[in-house]
Amino acid sequence: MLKIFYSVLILFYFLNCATARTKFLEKDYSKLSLKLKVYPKISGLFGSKKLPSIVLYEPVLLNKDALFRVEDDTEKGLIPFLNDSGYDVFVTFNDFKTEPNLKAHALELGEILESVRGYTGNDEIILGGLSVGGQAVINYLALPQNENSKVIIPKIFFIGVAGDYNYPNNFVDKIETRTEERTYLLRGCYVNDKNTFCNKYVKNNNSNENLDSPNGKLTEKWKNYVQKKLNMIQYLPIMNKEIISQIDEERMKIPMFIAYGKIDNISPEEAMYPLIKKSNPENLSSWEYTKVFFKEVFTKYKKPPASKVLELSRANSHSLDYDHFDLFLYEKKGFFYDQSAEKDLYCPLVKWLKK
Amino acid sequence: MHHSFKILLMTIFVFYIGCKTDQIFLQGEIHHPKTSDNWDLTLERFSPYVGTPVRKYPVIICHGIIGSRNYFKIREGKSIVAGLQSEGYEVWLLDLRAREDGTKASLYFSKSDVYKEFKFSNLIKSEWWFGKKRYNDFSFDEYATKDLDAAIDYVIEKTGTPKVNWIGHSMGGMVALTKIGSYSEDRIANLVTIGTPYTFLKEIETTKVSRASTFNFFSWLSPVIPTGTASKANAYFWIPVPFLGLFTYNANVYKDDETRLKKYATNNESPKVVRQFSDAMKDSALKSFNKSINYSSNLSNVTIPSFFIAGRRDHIASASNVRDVYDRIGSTDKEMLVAGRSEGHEEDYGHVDLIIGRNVDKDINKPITNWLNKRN
Repeated sequence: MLKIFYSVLILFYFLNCATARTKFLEKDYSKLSLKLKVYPKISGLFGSKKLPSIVLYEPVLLNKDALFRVEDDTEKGLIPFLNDSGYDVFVTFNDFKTEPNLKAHALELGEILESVRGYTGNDEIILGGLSVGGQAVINYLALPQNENSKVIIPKIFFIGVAGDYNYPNNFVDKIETRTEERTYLLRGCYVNDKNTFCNKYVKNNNSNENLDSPNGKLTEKWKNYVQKKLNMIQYLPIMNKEIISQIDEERMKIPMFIAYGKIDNISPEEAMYPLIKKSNPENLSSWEYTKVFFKEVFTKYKKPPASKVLELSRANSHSLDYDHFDLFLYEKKGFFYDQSAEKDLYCPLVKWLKK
Repeated sequence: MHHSFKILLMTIFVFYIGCKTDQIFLQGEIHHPKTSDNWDLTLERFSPYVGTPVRKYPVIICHGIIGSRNYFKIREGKSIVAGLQSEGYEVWLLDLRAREDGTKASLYFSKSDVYKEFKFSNLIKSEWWFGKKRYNDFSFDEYATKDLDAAIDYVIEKTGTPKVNWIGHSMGGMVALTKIGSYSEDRIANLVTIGTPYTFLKEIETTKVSRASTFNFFSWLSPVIPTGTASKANAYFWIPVPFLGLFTYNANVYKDDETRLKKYATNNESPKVVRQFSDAMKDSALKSFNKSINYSSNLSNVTIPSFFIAGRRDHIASASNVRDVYDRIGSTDKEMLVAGRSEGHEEDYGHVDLIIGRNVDKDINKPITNWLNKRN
């Protein structure tokens, strides 16, 4: 009897995996200037409850392939993780043949959300902003709300997205006014100089190589995902320096998950903090948290979702202070356990999304 | 036998040299201004180098919480003191109350001097236990009002200038911001803060800092926060101390400098000061000890030229906190710099790295002197 039970269990397990593997596909789908790719969720026999789809605006500075990496025959990155967690993920992207204008793309984002709603049949869509591209999502929030739209945005998440560069020596000013920064941006990562764009903004935490040393170059992985894109971009998108103040208070009531790297110089914490402040995140003390916990257990009370901020840093017991690209690429094999962005960032993100 | 004796002598010599190099050699002229409530502070004066241009105002440099003036001297020739001297400034390093060379604070109050009769040993001095001045006698308010007042009065009297430049690291910047913002202070001409938080944004509070602030209960139980003792225990006996790693970024600080920091530049702190900071984290606003004045909301009263420096890897005064101060003050002449790789620096700076970092002379001190030179 037990043998039959185990056989059925194993059969179910294989069926579940088989279903999962065959479902991966990408397809071009939009006719807008922005293109859209679909990464469907992995659905097994024990399908999870219907979750809202996620629409991501591509990171711009980082090759979007970094969100869906295939290394050592395994899928890694943010998108496979979200797929594994039961979410369909739609990614917008741009071919960068023309100057990317995040404000113009924000207008198209509204249309894209409508078409995704039609495609999935679900009014609820989670919005995700990544890296510099996340500014398009912020711009979208600053637009007047379309009252005819049936799209409901229950949650938004931002990973390494700066909102307000309105202070001295900020990244946008450096890129726009300092010619050497622009030159280095074009020359990419292969210049052996501490003033290169890569040395200033891309910290190579994944290897022990020093970018300053004559032989210290980026590892293959970094070359693939960062260098290619840096070569491709002739200019950075037009970024609004103080878009946060234009967002309506009502829009800011949408629960937000805001994550940033401690040593991120592209979307630094001081450029994110106005967004964080406006999102009014929850910061319960351990005593308050315990009270809510018992209230939820012993009464019918359900705490409404609240905004959350996550700083990826040693001060939050992470293995390192994250920089901009670590948010998407960090992983390190350890003797006892591995460390990665997946553990430090994507897990808490999905936990929050499902709350 | 003869060789063994030589080896022994050599070992003693090496040990002696080792101990000697461990010290801080940069020394100035010691002064002791008195506060209105009878505490002796310490001011250490450094004259400008010969042949340098005459500057308008002298500079007072103030240390942060649990620190003393000594860490401004650790980098010796590359320190902020030497940097300012070489640009023609007269530099006064300030020790706030209850530091090493001023009036010492005891744990418990004793009205009579009878405790002086007791001699336990050099290690456990009776004055540590009983005295007329206690750690519990003062809060941050006394630092910001009485100590700052006494120091500025003294420097103005000695130099004959009507104003001073103020440079503060961490809490050293907060005392100036508080005095100017909430108690009206017009004798500070220019303000430079290095790694100075003020409003403690609750939204971005990290778990370790938040855990550290839960040690608040300790401030109700103990007559002192033994941070200096713990730090010295770590330096001399390698006793682990929690949260110490948050203050510096190891790759950016020489090991010897870090050891000297722990040995000579840390101090025990008043429980009331710690309680006040802990409450500030809870409320996202710094208030007076009796909560009657909200110092944070008075930051708009700061209208003097100000320069804010933050460290990209600073876990104590994060760049967000520094930007919040930058945004809130009322000055029109204000600047901000986040020290790190994006500025072309070798490394991203941590909280104390901003004073004792490997390349602090080029990365931090130079921008400060350049900024001051334009206004002096």
